[in-house]
Amino acid sequence: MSMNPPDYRPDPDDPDKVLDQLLESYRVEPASAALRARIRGQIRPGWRHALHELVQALGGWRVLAPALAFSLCLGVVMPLLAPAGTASTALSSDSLSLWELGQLSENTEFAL
Amino acid sequence: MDDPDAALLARIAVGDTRAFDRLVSRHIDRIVAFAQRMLGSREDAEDVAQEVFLKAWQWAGRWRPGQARFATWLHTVALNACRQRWRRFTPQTDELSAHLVSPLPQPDDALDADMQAARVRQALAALPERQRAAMVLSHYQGMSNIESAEILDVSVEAVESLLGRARRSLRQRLLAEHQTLSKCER
Repeated sequence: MSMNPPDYRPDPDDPDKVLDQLLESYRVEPASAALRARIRGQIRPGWRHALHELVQALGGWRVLAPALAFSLCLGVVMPLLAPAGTASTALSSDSLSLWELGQLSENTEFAL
Repeated sequence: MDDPDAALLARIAVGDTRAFDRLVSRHIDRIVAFAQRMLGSREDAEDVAQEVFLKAWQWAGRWRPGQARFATWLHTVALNACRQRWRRFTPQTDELSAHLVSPLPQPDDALDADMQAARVRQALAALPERQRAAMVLSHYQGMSNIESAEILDVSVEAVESLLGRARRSLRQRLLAEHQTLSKCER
């Protein structure tokens, strides 16, 4: 990378300047389009790229991150705010049977 | 340290291929030129460039800004790739260059320039590896001595010494030929 102006003529008595000019004669062609295509062809975008594209499609992280944070907070806060009677009861983990839960066993119409 | 490539690397880390294209466009000519002047072969230089940019794609996520300039890192990777090639293959002297170096001056300016370039290429190829690397980094790639030292993994004083020896060898080889040719032309 020469710092010399284009019309620069080296001092014939200065060997360093003559050497610099000689070195400048060794130029290299810029990279070809074929090489650029070869480099582009060897990369595999993978799941990171797919995730990135999905996030972009959904409005980018600036939109998606607050939306995710808000829905997470909502999921934590809502059960606390809801009245006790409306709290959901997981049947699988509950000791009551479906009959007892529906108070069907107390109803004579349904009594076995 | 403000690295102009830091923003592109952050985008490449999440797989942005457009950012990668921009990074390649920004650096490819310099990397190919560096490898070609180091190896003396265009084909090998293109293989080195391909290897270097594949590594850049794979390592972008691990890049930490502020440690070194990305261009310096790219040159370090390119130099290592060149060294691996040297270990695998013996560098070939370019037959065309040897043919072009003729003691008879040619009237055609383009041919004259080609001959001069071939002489420089041969003189560079004759230098020991580290002297050549220091010379190419400093003269052609525009790297500072501090950056060259980082790439070559030596002290700044060692780079200065390598450059001094390289320039002395090149002066002896090229200027003698140049003066002989100048006299012939007169």
